[in-house]
Amino acid sequence: MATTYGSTRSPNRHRVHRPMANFRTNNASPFRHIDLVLVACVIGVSLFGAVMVYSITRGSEPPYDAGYLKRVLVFIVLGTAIMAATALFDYRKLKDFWPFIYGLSIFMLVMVLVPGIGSRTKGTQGWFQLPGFQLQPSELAKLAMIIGFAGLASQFRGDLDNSRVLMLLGVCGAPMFFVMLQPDLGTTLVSVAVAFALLAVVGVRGRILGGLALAAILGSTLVLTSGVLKEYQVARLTTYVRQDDTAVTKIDRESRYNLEQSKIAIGAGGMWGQGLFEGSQTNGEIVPEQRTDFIFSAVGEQLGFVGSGALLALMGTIVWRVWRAAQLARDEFGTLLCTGIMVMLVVQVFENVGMTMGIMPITGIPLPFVSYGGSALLTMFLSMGLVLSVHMRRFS
Amino acid sequence: MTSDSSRHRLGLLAVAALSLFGALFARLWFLQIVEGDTAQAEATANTTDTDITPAPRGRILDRNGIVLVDNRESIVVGIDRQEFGDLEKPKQKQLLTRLSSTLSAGRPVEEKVSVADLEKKLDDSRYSKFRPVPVAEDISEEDEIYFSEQASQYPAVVVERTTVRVYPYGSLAAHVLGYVGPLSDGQWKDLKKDNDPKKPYIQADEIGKAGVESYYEKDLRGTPGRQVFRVDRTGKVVGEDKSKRIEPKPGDDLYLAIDAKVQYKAEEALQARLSLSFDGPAGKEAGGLVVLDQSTGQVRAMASYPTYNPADLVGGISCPVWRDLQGLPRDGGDCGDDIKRETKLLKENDDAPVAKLLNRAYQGAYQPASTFKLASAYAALKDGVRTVDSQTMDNGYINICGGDEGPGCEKQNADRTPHGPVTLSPALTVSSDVYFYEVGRDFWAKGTRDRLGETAFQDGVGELGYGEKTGIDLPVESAGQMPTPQGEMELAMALYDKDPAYYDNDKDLAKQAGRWNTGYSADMAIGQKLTVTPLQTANAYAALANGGTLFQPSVLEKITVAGQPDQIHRRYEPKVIRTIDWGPNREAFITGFRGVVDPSSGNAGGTAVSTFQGFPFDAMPLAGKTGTAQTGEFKNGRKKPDNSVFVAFTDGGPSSWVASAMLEYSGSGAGAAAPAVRMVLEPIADGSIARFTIPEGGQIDAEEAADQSGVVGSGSD
Repeated sequence: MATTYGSTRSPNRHRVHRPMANFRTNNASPFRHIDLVLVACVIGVSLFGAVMVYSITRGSEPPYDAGYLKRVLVFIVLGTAIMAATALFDYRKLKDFWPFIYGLSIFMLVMVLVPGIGSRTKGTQGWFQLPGFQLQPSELAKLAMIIGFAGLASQFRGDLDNSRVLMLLGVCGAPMFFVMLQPDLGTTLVSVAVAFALLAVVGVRGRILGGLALAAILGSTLVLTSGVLKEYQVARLTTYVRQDDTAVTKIDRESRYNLEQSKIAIGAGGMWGQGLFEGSQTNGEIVPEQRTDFIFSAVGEQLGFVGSGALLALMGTIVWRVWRAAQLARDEFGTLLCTGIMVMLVVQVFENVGMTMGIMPITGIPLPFVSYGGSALLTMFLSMGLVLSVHMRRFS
Repeated sequence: MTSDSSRHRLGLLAVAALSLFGALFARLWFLQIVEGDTAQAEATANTTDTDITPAPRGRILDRNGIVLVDNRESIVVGIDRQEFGDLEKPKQKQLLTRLSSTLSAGRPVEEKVSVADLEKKLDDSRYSKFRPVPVAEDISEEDEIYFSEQASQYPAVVVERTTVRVYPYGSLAAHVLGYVGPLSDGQWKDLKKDNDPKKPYIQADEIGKAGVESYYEKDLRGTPGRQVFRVDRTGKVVGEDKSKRIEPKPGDDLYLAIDAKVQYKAEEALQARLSLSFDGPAGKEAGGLVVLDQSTGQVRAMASYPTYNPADLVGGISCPVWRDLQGLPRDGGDCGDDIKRETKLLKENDDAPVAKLLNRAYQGAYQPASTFKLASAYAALKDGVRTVDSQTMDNGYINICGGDEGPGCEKQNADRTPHGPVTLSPALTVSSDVYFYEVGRDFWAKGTRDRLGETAFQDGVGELGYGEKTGIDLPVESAGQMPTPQGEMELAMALYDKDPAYYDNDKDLAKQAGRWNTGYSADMAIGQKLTVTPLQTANAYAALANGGTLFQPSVLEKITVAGQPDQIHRRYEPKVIRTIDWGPNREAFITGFRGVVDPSSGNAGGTAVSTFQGFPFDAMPLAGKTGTAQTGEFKNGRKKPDNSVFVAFTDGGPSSWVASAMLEYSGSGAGAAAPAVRMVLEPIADGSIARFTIPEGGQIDAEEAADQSGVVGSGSD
């Protein structure tokens, strides 16, 4: 029987599963809810970081060295791909997988401590030397801890007795313990802040939180004074408290030097900066560890208050989008994931930028998306992918 | 999960995050906007490394071009104290042992450097904190290469080539030349405030410490070379900023007014006569002698004893050398409190050490004794207290106060020798004390005081330059002491205020002690109650000899571009302090002083005639004045030997000289100081100085010279 109309329109009103069409028409489709602001900010900040790494590593005179720049760009491309893949992945499946991810991360943290398997740089046993790439499991472990916590906590469904709180504490404490053994102070510090925020958001009572804070203070005092840490680590941590005194010991002098030069570099930027590629502190390679931990000093020197302010504003925007995703998430698991990631981001930015300006102790924490370092960058992209995944699926 | 409490907590989290970001912005604002300028300056300093090459100092020559201070390059091994301190104890020990054996290898026994020597030097606080402690000088080039190749074996050891001062004639003119040494803390503080923009100092620099090295520091100091390098963090040089390059330029050459040969003769004469006549405690031999050109005020020679070799002071003064310069035994304690304590002890025993750095010719103040009669007579004539023809009956003694001013009213000539009736001119020749006691007495007489004021005498003698600095171009000059009635009273009151027990807690007693009396004036008139420098005496007599011009003395001839005597920056220009109007009375002075040395001049009985027997007066018409200064008593009650003073000047003739000498504890003026002056002037008078050459190294054999001179000092006063 011939029909006279509507051959372009399917007579079948049931939808055929076609993602692109779905994206356009279905309000409940995850693809309608990609957070483009977040994606743009993340890629923007990463490219900003790539330029800064280039400005630090290209050398002061031609021929310029683009080796680091190329590596960073490769990581950004790779990272973006990972972010996209993670976003496509439904985060809710992690509710079942989290023990594997968490377990794998603990396993890597243990393995990295084994001499011969893990390798040692600047007194920290924290890397796997892979061909062409150094994997730093402590970076991934922060994320694994968040996933583990979110997974476990969402199983409890808000019903927290003391033993459950203890379990949650255990989930947080295990990776911290092994990271501490490396020792990687910076990562531990971030993890403590993240765990604390997660416990608060999940609803642990204030009295317990207060006790934990007290324990953390006592613990860190103990760590600082017990001799677990090497002298230089204590000096780095404490030097910012006495930054205007005269350094007495050699170790003090060296860690003070780092801070002083960084502050000089940032200060020298003034309002508008010395201009891209123009910083004398940067070009003279005067600030140690500048392409990694102290990259913000290069931003400050070359781009001034305006440039570094803009960078912080971009970072703030990312934090805001992650916070928003936490609020909008349709389940507690998503909220906790995003909260953890947000706190991790905030603490890292504050600690890293703060230490370059002398308001936080010096610890080896990279500036998210900006510092040179593959593991950290990929972890950040992975985290953003998770946030996007949570955000996209808030209606589905 | 969307429960309200969870939203609430997320809200708190947002607030926390916001405030953290706010803190970052605030800090950023503070660092970049508030303190940005400081940081910018520091950043600039950070990227450059300025290399400063010290420039050699200018040479110092005598007026005829004889080099007195030269430069040479020396390879010096030093230990950086700070780096050394950073080493661990065993490492330090190891380093010293190794260094000791390296530095001692192949050296004669006396030059070997032991570990103990090294430790001593490292502990020696006299070395500058900012320069490596020098442990060996003039090492060979092979050793220099060895140290640079084995640098890792010798941490904290610095080997550098430096330009050091050399003194071809040893201690010749040491007190005039002075020495250089590292900047002291105080000097550096002053310099930092007001650094020379053309020749900026750095803390490790050397600076002239005494003599012309100090006074003409600005001229002698070279312009340091400067290279500005761009460096990276590790201090590695990445390039040079050629526009900021300054080549080092040696300092200017300084030609002194001093004649090295006369200088040598002066030092030789001083030492020779001290060796013959000195009668005080051994080790306290001291004296000064200065020779001026009366027509310009330039210094032709300036000798001081005891002396030192500036070469020993090169590169910083070690403790033993410093002790020696203070007159203390070289080995006997450290250089801090020990020196103070030892000096104090010695002073209590009247064995106070004689400091060697003091230039007694212009820094030493002594009683001028009878040589001061020139000034007393000048004041008396000027103020009408005497006329040239006023006659005094000299019975050998005089009671000056009619008995109402306590003991000491009777004053007498040396040995109570009567000279009979004398007017001014013979009074000078025979050195009649009675004549001048009366002059002093009359100045303090009620009538004179009412007419001229209490300080008429001081004002009168002051016109000849006594009581004030001559303004010579050498550092730290003494003005001598010119007591005044007001000053005496103030001194007594100050003593009373400080310690009333000194005057038995009786203020009236103090007032009485501070009251001026006729005796003081009388003593001053014969040159006893005041002190002057040998230079002041020479200058006053020069003003008589040249007809009335009181010059500001100077040791400068000219300052020239290094190595180019004809490229003159500055030449000596005479400066006149004031003009003295001798009037028609000058002749009486001249005759009086001529008679002191030359019996054929008209006045008989000159005090130094026998000392100058055989002097070629035809070639050099000479006049002079002796002085014998009483110096009080030692603590043990023994009378101290007199200080011997003499001053002479040429009266006409082809050259115009003044020579003034002071020899401590050496007896009468005619017996020691006069022969010393004769030993200086005679070779000039007979022309033998032209053929004279200074012995190598400036060595002086005092006793040999005394024997050879054949001058017998005798006579009274």
